[in-house]
Amino acid sequence: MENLKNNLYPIISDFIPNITSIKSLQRLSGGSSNESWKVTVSTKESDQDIVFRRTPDGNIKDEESNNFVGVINEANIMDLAYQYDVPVPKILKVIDNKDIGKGFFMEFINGETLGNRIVNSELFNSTRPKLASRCGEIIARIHNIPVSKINNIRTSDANGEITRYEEAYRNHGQQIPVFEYALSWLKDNVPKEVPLKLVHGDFRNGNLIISKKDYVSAVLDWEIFHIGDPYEDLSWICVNSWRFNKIDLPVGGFGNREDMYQSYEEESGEKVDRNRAKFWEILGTLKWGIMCLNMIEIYRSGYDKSVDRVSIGRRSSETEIDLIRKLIVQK
Amino acid sequence: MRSEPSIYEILDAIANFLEDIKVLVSVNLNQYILLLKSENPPEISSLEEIVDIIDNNLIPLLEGHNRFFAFVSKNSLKICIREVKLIDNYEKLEKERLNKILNTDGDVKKLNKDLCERIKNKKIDLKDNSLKQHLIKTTMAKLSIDQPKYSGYLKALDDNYPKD
Repeated sequence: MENLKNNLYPIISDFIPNITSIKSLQRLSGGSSNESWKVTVSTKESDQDIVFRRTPDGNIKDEESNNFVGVINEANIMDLAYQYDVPVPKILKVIDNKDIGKGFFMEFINGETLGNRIVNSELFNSTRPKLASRCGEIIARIHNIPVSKINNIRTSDANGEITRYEEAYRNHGQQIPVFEYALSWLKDNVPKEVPLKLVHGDFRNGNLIISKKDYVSAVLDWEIFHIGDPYEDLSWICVNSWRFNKIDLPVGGFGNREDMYQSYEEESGEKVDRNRAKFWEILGTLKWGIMCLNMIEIYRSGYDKSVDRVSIGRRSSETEIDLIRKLIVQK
Repeated sequence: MRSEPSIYEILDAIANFLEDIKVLVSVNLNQYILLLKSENPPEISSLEEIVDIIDNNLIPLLEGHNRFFAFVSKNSLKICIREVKLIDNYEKLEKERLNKILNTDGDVKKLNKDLCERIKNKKIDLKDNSLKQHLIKTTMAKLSIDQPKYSGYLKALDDNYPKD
């Protein structure tokens, strides 16, 4: 860590010229391919917190896979989102450095990111009822960013997503009849095409900084943004796994769908097709189930041998019961 | 159908975690590491003993990432304990249902492969009530091992979904 501190100092002095020392470095959780660090910078006047996010050396597996955009693209999209009034931390500097890898510095924003605390803490009792409509407004602003401003980013609509995740499921090789049924149902029910937008791709409780002052102070983890169906973002946040056991509050475990849809409609001027949103919630549920299986593959590859990585595999079955509830018992 | 990762993969990952932290704690973890790495089916009482050690002797001493991994290890051991207790009976019932639905015999893995093929090729659908019942019961069985506190599972229990 001392080494990282020493390497960071001259880079930070580029944009905080009156820096006197790096007081502390603290590893933050979140993000599956990249590390985030809270850096406390001392100057003669005061201390200032910033965040450094990087892809560590040798950590190219995820970046090379077609899911992740790479940390430089992540910084660029956040910069663009900032210009379109999406709440994101302001990007301070982007680097590609031989000693510390690729990464960027951004402002540190105070607030809560842990989904469990957001849905349970008394501190947010008066905040929660406002969050769904704030999310609708923010998602509309993300979708309002012109696609023409983005280069070399993958495009994936409903068919594209089904194909990608079916391939991951088949490569993993487990035979799961509920997933098989869901795949078959999804292929038979793909909704008609709509204009594709810039989508965040991981817009959910857990990737939002929540505060009493701004409700949603920032949207984080842009590492799988792409051009896609706007309903992907409107539905992913409703997948039951992101409700943190508050199953009756479909938007992130804190709010109602209608509040989110209405504010989305007001901000974007586009009507939300409720049935299309249901399709995407089922696709999102299956996607998370297959992502959990993929964690087992990452463990088996030797890339990450942690007990956390392998155990997430057992969360795949939670999506099976959700698919049963949505698709099989409801019918 | 046994979920993946297998309990052996989970126990191996926990053994590696204990190996990583053994110098940080005063308890001698070597005997537990050996136990977790054994290729023999684990004894429930041994797994329960390791849960106690993690709870009483490791979690209070650890912080940050290691503390988080200790909690994950404890919960994962509990998954393994439930699986050892329940899986044989669940698989027996699952196999009986699959034999009837598919009208063939074979091990559970082969039968599930067969069922998946038929669903994929639309040779069977949910109008077949025995298939619907089977999918629900098998999934409920999985959840009772993997995620017994999960909201979707608790809701299904409340709604009296059929289960083994």
